Amino acid sequence: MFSLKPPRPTFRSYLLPPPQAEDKFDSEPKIKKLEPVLLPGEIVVNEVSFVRKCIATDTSQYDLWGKLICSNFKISFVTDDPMPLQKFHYRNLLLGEHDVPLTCIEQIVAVNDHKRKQKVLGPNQKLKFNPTELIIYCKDFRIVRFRFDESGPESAKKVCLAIAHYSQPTDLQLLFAFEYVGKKYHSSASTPNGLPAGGGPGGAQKTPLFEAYSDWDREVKRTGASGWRVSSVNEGYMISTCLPEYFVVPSSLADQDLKTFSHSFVGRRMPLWSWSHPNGSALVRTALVKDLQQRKIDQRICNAITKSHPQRSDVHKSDLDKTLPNIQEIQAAFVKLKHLCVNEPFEETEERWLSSLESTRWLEYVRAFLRHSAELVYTLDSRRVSVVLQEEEGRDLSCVVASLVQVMLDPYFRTIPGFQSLVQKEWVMAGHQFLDRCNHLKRSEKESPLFLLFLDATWQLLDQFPAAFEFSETYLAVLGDSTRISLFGTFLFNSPHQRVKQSTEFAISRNIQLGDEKGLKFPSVWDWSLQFTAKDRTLFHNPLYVGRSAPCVRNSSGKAFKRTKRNCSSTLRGMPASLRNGLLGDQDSLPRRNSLILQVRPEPPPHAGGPDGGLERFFGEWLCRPADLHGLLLPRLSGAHIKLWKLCYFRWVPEAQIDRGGFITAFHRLSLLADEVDVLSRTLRQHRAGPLEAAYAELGQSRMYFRARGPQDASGTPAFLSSSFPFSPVGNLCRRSISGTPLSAFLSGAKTWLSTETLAPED
Amino acid sequence: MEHIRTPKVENVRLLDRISSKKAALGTLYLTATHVIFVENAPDTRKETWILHSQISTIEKQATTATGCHLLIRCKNFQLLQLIIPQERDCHDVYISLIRLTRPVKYEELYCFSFNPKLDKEEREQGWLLLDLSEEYRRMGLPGEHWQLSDVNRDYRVCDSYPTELYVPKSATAHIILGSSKFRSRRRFPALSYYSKESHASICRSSQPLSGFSARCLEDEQMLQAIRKANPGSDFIYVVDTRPKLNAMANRAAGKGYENEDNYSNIKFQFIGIENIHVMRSSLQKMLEVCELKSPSMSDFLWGLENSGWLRHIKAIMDAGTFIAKAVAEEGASVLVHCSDGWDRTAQVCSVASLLLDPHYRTLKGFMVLIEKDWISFGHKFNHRYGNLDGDPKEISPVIDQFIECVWQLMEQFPCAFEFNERFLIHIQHHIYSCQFGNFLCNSQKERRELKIQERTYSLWAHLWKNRADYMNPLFRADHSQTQGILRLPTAPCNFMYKFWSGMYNRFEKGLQPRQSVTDYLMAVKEETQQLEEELEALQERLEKIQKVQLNCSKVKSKPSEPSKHSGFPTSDNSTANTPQDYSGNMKSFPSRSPSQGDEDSALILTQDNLKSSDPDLSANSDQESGVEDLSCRSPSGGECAPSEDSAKDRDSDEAVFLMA
Repeated sequence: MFSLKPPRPTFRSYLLPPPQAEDKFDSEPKIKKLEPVLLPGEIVVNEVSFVRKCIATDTSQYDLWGKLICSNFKISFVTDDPMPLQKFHYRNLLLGEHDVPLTCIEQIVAVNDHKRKQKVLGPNQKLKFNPTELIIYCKDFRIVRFRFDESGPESAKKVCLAIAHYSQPTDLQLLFAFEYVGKKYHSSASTPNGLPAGGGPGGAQKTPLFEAYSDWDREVKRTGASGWRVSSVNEGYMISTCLPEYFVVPSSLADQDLKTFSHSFVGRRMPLWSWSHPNGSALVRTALVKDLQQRKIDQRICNAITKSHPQRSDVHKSDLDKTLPNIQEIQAAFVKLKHLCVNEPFEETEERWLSSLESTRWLEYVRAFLRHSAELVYTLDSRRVSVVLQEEEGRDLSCVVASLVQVMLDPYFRTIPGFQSLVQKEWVMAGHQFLDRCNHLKRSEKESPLFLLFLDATWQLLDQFPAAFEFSETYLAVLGDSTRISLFGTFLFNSPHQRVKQSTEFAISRNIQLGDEKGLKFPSVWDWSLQFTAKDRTLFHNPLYVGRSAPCVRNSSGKAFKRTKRNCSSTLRGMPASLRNGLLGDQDSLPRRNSLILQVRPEPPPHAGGPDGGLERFFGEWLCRPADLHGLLLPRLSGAHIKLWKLCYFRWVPEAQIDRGGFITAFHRLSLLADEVDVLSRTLRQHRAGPLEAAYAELGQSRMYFRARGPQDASGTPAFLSSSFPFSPVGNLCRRSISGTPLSAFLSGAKTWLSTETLAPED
Repeated sequence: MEHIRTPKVENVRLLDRISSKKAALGTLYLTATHVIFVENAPDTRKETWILHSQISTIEKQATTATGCHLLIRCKNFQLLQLIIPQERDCHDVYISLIRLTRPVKYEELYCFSFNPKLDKEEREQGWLLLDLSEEYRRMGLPGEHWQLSDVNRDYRVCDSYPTELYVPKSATAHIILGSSKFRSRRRFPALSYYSKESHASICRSSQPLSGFSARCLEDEQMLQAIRKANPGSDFIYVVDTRPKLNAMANRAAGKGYENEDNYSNIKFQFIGIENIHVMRSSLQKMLEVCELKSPSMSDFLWGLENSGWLRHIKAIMDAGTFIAKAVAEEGASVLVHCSDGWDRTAQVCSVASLLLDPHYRTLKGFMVLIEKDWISFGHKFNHRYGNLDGDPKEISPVIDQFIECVWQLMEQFPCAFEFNERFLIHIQHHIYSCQFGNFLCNSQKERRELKIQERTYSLWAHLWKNRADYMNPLFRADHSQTQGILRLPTAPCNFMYKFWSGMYNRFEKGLQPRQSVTDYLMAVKEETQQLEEELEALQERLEKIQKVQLNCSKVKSKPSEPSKHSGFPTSDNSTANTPQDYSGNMKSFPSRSPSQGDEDSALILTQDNLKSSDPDLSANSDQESGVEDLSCRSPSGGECAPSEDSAKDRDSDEAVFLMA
């Protein structure tokens, strides 16, 4: 648009040989020392030295020299050169700055630009040319590129093929988690300390995994569900291999009934209880009845659910296959979205950004799920009717809908431990086919980003109700990323049974003594200390979130309240963490469940009028009331309110980065304030408690990443903050340029290497 | 009053946009200044007040069985759908409103009858709040190269310019005069912004009357004078904010743009911002999207894109960014013009100033910016915002676009502005409301002739008085970030620009953001303050206890000073309370009904009050007052707007309720 070109470093084509002689002379001894950091069980498969990692598309001056390594877990680029231009790097303890886990790789393209050839590498393939560069397209929207101009052509080729081979394993047991956990078992044989499970040692609160009877039992009690019981009928996966061992069923159904009924359902997935509203309505999910003849089975189950309802109210069935987009449509939308955010040149989409976004249909689908979930919330909450989610297999769309309904209705699921338990309950244990949907083995036709869709929909709620969630959007993004690290057992399998079966086989083949354990204990994703330091984990905390508050501190004199006319708007923090967890304190006079009922339903439901009119009124009335952050949340669904999750989809785009701008700057200031409040309340509490010295021991910790240094803190926004924080787009080559002028860079001769279509495919 | 055919219609229904089934029954009043709808529902008696000057169109729709439909669209994006039972009443209301909303002389406007019960001195003080000469001094003017020119004394040269103008020292009266004759409406190049650091300036003018070949020596000298006033650079940019095609078309009419061959050392640049007619229809299209009932995602996104509105916003931002970069990074001066130099030029100069100078991102600085680049430089407020009945083709949302640009910047840099979204919305509201004299007329000359300052009140004083409502709690003046230049990504990132729901949907109850981060922050800040105060009190108590203890036994060691972490000021006025006092107080703290649950819900309640306390933005306010004297009473009674009062009432109601 402007002819003005900002002062740029002189352009140097990367086609030219890199700086010669002395550079190489210098780097040689260094490179020899370059060694990757390996995890237990990780082995180097292949490596090549003198590799150049490209940092910018329009210039090679920032390129890094180092060694490219393929292990059975990741591709790693090891270098001594510091990363240029990067202001902040959110460090993952499992992965180096330049590493990409093999399960995060989407596509591998080898290019020879002299012969003008390129090839997408599959497993066990041959490559007829020596690659001059390697482009890795990642599932998280990054694109990484390596040049082999100075490396041995044969070893370069070998590494490319190794990456292609190891990133597309033929068998589940070849995924790194098995090797890792096997090694751990062997090494822990000597040390009594077993493997961390659940929340792990680092987690303050343990996340219920719902692998055990007790977790389900506790959940039934927590929701106050009467008329429901935990059944052990599937112990040892005797009934169904895609159901958890324990699940909750209507009390009126005996185990023998369940055994009989289960035959009628697809995958023997009979109705599973998910959650109960304080008013007694239950959320149940089920697969379809296989045979139309067996309708009466369906009817009997419905009767049982009705019986479990305190008002014996009818059952509302929601057929998700008929009302929501299917998994193929969702996948297609996601592919288009990725294309829009990653590949499509800015110049083309500039004028048509909104319609391009619309044509992906991603936002429309996100909205469809939110809307449908909100409608079911109305049914459960206002009509006081139990809801049964029906889906062919009951393990895809149901996961999204069941989770969203619960996030909207139950504030516990808006806390970190609650949200994690929700993922365990409605996704991992309910048998969402993570292996196939995430396509860890790269050969599934059934890939579909349902979990990301759920995270996106949750983000929409977080965006609309910024103070209602304990976690931040960073947490959601990192959780999404964690599905692509093949170390955690959480997102690796199609069902709990598969984990047990596969890992038992593996254990036998490796001579691992399992003892009483059912399968290997893989590390859980909820053990965040494996990935992030305690300090970095504080970025998960939303500074705006105020736990269920208790009147713990009030100014003793009236003067605190004359200051502003809005004096009653103060919030209070500093409640014990156990209360935030959704558990009730004994004498705490704020009944969580009851208050929910009272707030949401001030009067009995008007039965007059059709259900649709009621729905409209329900929404209308809810919107007119002030939102109770610890009660029901309903999403606003108008076009202006469903937004693109920029942190997730644009964090790798250099041009989209706003220096010292974006929501993170507000997050930063809010964190400082929240921290200040924390410090003050702690100080106060200590004053009241007595021993002053103890106060300072506690002051050392903070739940905020950004710490206040007192009210006079004038340090301002740190220079490393940008709208992409804590992620850094540096080194990602999805766009043309790093200097922010793709057009001028383009015009001044940068090659459009990304559109490899111009190259002839190798036959 | 003579235009009011019927002052009161009963049994009128006000339709709710969200749920069509809900319609409020009430009485419609027409007064000299307002349309008022009072609901019959006895417990609320909710009132909706609309200023006549806010009404943009009135549409009489087909009569149905229920009555005659009347659709009122407002300039602040409110939409009222009324059903009047009798066709005759409806017609009377329609005819009355048509006349009332199209005043023919300034004296009919609300600001001449509006009386906030301030005495003369207060009013004069209000007008003195902002001082443009002070602003130029702040920029470092007059200085080595720039001087105040009296060439436009008594508007002798240009009647749409102010009298006080800064020009290069080397530009003699002869040059200025010559240049002015070569520029549309004699709007010669004059200084808009000067950067002390780089000595670069932003100047503004109208297009040159160059036609295909005409030249003017004085005009060329004028540009040279601007260049020489910046010793750090050997060229100046000349930015024509129009699309090239439009500028070329102007040449046929003897106008046009600077020829680089004739002006030495200029770099000429077109920036395609469309003209007022395109902008008007673009807004119209966007508002149609807003009016859609439950649009699909696709309706919304396509509609928004086809309106082109965000593209136009981006064009203005791009132009501002270009100029800011030239001044800050290249140290080059820029001359900006469009056709007449009062619409696009005003937008672009003020966006650039905002990016460059943190002062304009403060509350007062922003007012000064509008005062300087818009009011004093003759932006035609009357024509653009249709204050008096005039040519509808002159109407265009020019300053609305600027205000939206500021909002978009606030979204991208949430900590960089001292003011909040509410401030912008209120300014937009009052540009159309004609409640204050600031935005009247088309030029400084007209305003002086009308003696605006003696007869009306200043909006700036009103906003300043209520500044607590407009503060962005994230802003800290002493922070390094808030002091520098705002750097936008320069890539064509259309996804950076968002639909401004808070402005265009602000009367849609269900569509408003329900929680804003800043409102929360305000609450947190307050909480901090309370905790600090309590800490302070406890500290004093502690000290007293320690004194007693020390007196008893000197062996005891002194505990470390608790305040070192926070450095709170200590004062003497608080008294030491015993723990018994404390718990007693806790008990006496108003307990809430279960439906309000806890502190958090109280917080939210108040926030909703906050929202509705936006003057007149909450057209739906609860007022306790009777309605008998509505027609003669100034709705605001001392305050600026009706609902502000009522919001206060509600606040106190709330308190009473809570105490009960």
